[in-house]
Amino acid sequence: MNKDMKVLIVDDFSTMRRIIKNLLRELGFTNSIEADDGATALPILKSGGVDFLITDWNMPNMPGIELLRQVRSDEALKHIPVMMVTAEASREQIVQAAGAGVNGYIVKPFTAQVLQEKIEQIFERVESAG
Amino acid sequence: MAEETDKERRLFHAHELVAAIEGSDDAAEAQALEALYGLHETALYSDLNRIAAELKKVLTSVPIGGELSRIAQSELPDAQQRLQQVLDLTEAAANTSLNAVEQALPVVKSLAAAAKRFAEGGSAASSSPGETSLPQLLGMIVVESEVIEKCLSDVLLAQGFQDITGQIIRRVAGLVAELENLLSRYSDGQPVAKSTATDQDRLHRGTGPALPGRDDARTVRGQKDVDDLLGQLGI
Repeated sequence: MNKDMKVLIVDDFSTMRRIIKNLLRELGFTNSIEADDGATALPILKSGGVDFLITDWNMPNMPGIELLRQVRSDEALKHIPVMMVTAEASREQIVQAAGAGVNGYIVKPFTAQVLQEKIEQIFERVESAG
Repeated sequence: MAEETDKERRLFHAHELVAAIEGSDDAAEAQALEALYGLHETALYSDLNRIAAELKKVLTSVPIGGELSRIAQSELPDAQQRLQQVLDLTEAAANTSLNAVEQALPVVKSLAAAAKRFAEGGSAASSSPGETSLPQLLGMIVVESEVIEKCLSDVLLAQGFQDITGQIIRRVAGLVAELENLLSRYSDGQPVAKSTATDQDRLHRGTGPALPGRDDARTVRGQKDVDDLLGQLGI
């Protein structure tokens, strides 16, 4: 796993973005950028260079599930691993996210250990898939 | 004075806030903001109770139903539970942070005391009683740094309450606004259209944190449930 990869953190609450950014730094990922919802994240993704997307679900303008679908339907972006970190906990939503091609799903509140495990798991799978 | 009024309490905390900002006292500023925020939460909670009581009165005297009945019977009781959830979450987060600070402070103090003993001992290899040798000091720093790091990490994660409670408060505030709009239309004799948002629309936008006790049947109970469900789906 390349620790220099660029991570885009999308959440409408700046406190949660800071928490995730700090936890990522502790895990050695120092190259992270932020957006406050799907509508502002998409142009950043389209401008290129993002290697990993971490997104909330419940956000104004464009929710995370819509952002995930847009990413998967865009030839230039569809390879980017996407992890949802959200308080949305209904089974139906998790099934929807899986159907839309999510690589990992963390429910809030979460621990630093869970974040680490899921990131490692996602990149092990991505790398072994080749 | 018999009782402080809300206005006086707000003014008091506002003065504290101004003084803290002027004095660049971050801790006092955060405390004053939290106090003001707490007053706002309490006011919201009592507003909801008052609206619920008034609504009940209206419903028993006038034959109206539809959207208003739905809100009165289902949404308002939920909203009260959700505000209780906010109180519980903020209390839990404050306790987690305080526990971490209480655990870390003595560790920092003991490290500082050991460093002071070493400095006063004047010898890197000193091992006479009451003095700290350099290897001892370095060993302490390595062990205790891990404790401090864990405490700081706990404080960091505890701040996640702001996101979760923020989503809940936003949802309740939306409900109060919707209710105000409905009541105003009823009182003006205007027709009230039934909400056209489907369950699918609500799920698409996101419904916010689950309400324990009410949402249990349709939600996962924690990360393990999520992992099991994703595992069944091949992820």
